[in-house]
Amino acid sequence: MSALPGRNPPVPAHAFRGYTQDMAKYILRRILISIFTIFVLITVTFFLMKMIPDGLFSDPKMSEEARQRMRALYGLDKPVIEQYFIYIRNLLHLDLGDSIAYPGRSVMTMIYDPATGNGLPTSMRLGLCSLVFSVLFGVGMGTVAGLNRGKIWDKVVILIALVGVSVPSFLVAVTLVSVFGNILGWLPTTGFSTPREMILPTICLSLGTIATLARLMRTSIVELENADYIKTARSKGLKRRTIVFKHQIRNALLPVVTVLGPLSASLLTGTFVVEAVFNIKGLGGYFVESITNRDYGLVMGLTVLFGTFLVVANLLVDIIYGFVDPRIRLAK
Amino acid sequence: MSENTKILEVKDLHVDFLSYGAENHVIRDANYYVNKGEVMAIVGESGSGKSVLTQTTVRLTPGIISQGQILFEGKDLAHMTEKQLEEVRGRDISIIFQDAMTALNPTMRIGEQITEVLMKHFVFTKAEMEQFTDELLAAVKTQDPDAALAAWLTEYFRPNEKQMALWASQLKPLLSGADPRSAVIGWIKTTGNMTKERAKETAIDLLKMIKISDPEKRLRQYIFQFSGGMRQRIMVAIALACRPKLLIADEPTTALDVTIKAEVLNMIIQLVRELNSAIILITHDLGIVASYADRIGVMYAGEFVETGTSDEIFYQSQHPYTRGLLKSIPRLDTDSNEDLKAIEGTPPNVTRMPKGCPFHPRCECAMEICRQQAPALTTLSDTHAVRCWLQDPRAAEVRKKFGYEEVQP
Repeated sequence: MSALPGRNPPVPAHAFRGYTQDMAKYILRRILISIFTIFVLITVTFFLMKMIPDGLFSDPKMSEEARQRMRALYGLDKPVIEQYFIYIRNLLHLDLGDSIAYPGRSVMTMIYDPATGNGLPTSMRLGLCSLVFSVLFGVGMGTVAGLNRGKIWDKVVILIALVGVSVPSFLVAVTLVSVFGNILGWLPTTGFSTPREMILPTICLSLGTIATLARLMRTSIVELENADYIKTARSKGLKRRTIVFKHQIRNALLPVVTVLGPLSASLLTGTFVVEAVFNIKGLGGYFVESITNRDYGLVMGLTVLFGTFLVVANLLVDIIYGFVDPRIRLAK
Repeated sequence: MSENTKILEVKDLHVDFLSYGAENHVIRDANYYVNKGEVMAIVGESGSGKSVLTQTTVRLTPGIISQGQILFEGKDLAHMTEKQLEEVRGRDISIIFQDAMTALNPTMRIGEQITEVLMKHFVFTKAEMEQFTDELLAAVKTQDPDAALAAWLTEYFRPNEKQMALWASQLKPLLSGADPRSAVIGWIKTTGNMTKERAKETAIDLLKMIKISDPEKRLRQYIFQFSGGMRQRIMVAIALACRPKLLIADEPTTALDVTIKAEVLNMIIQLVRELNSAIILITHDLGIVASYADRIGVMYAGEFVETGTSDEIFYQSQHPYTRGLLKSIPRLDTDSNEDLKAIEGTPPNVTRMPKGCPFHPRCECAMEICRQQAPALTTLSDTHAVRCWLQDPRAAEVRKKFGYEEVQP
């Protein structure tokens, strides 16, 4: 550029980058936004929790001296701002503080207990199994229904989806346990370690999600049936099968990908009932208990954990979306 | 190629659509034909049935053909199976749609959208190769070998000029060799059959042909990365990829900026002429067809109200609707202060067709008979036909009053 002084108008260096860098830049931007979101989430949750009167120490039978000692023990006597910075500092060291309801246990060991392997890994496994199962079946069923609109398969899928959305999961869980576990005796009804044990909990947890995805995919496929570019593909003489697989499904997936983030978060956090019915040692139980016990340390810890999970899930969805839809990836 | 051989002939076509349980007769008694290598224009307002008619010609609409024939090279498309139609679509007859932005897949690279049509039509099965070979061997025995070979290559492989010369020179020695059958089958396997590489080369050539620079890079891009004119030209490239015998251009320039309309239309006409193919040009603008069309069909409410050569439509039009359309074209030689004459009213809804002639509520010459009975087609010359009561001898007075001089046979 120095060969032509003054000829080229000043242009920022990134104007000369190649197309391949677009995806990297897109992902980097998304990651930075995600980190900021998590930070805001932690801050807001922290101050919200501080606004609730602390229940455990307001017992009238407790002496004032004991109450002060307890508050000092949990660091609650310091100014709120200072507590906040202490919390953030500890968080960076992956220290989520101590549980109040279970004295002597840290929130971290409740989320993941290296001794027993219980907690997050189990819930995570259950959530992931259900996610994979839901996507495969939800998208598959929705596609079949959409392509056969008004025919028998469409009606079957609509019926299943209606049941999946309207029947509560505890009813489904109890029914499946008694039919497949007790009456037929085909499958075990407790635990979540062997593949055979995993079948029933996964189905119970997925049913609602399958229903949501199937309905979404069906609508999407039906809408595209009349899309101009599907007509163009037909005018090229392509086989119906080629059109469905190469043109229709990929584009129909776009709205489905959008809801995957919130859906996967709801699968992970919605494990309470299924974990209770199948006696699975995951996080679902703590999630409910921590609120009724007013266990602030645990509430904070789980909120931060699930919040981070939701943000990361949405980040992954954004990245997947970029791969599926070039308009997002390459938009300036 | 001999002139005036009909490549497409649509006879007495009636198309019905079902909506809310009712049967609507959307196309009634449509008759038209397209000669080899000519430009046939179909004009009419929005909703007159132009697109429905032409798309039903290749059976792309869910319309039910209740009556009539669609003869393409003698074969009736109206009674073909979906599988037979797939062979015709894209390969023999292809379509350019109005808005390339929605008519092309937003998430598929341009290159893939061009090559998929080539891979569909020029990758052959073993049985097809054997069948083609037997046809060639039979043809060279009965006809002039060079002409038969060229016709055979064109029919199944659609070579460009360079390929034609090369392939003919490769095949000729094979035909006089010891075992021509297996030699020709071998040639199809190695040369005639489409490969991914050759499809990509063809796609690059097509982009060069539509004047898009840096084709190799452009093939990897998506439709939203192109400008409006380029998008429409890509649509043209896809439609012409298989060198079709008939191109249907469905309002190809309506969605475009007025400054590039002419450029794109010129390109379409020029490329189609180079291929020696025919074109059906659908438009609502009589002005743009004036310079291109050999013959014109004027549609109103699902019927052809007048068909004729370009001259017959422009200088001897006999239908009040055609005259109305002609008056609505802005001209350089008229007083610029004079208002353009529009046809009053709107076309009828297909579910509530007026009794009699569908145009009578808007017609300045409407007579009592027009309200009661639909007019029949009157043939004025070999090429000129009109569907109007003014042609009836009893309407002579009205005809004179509105200046419709009789056409001398």
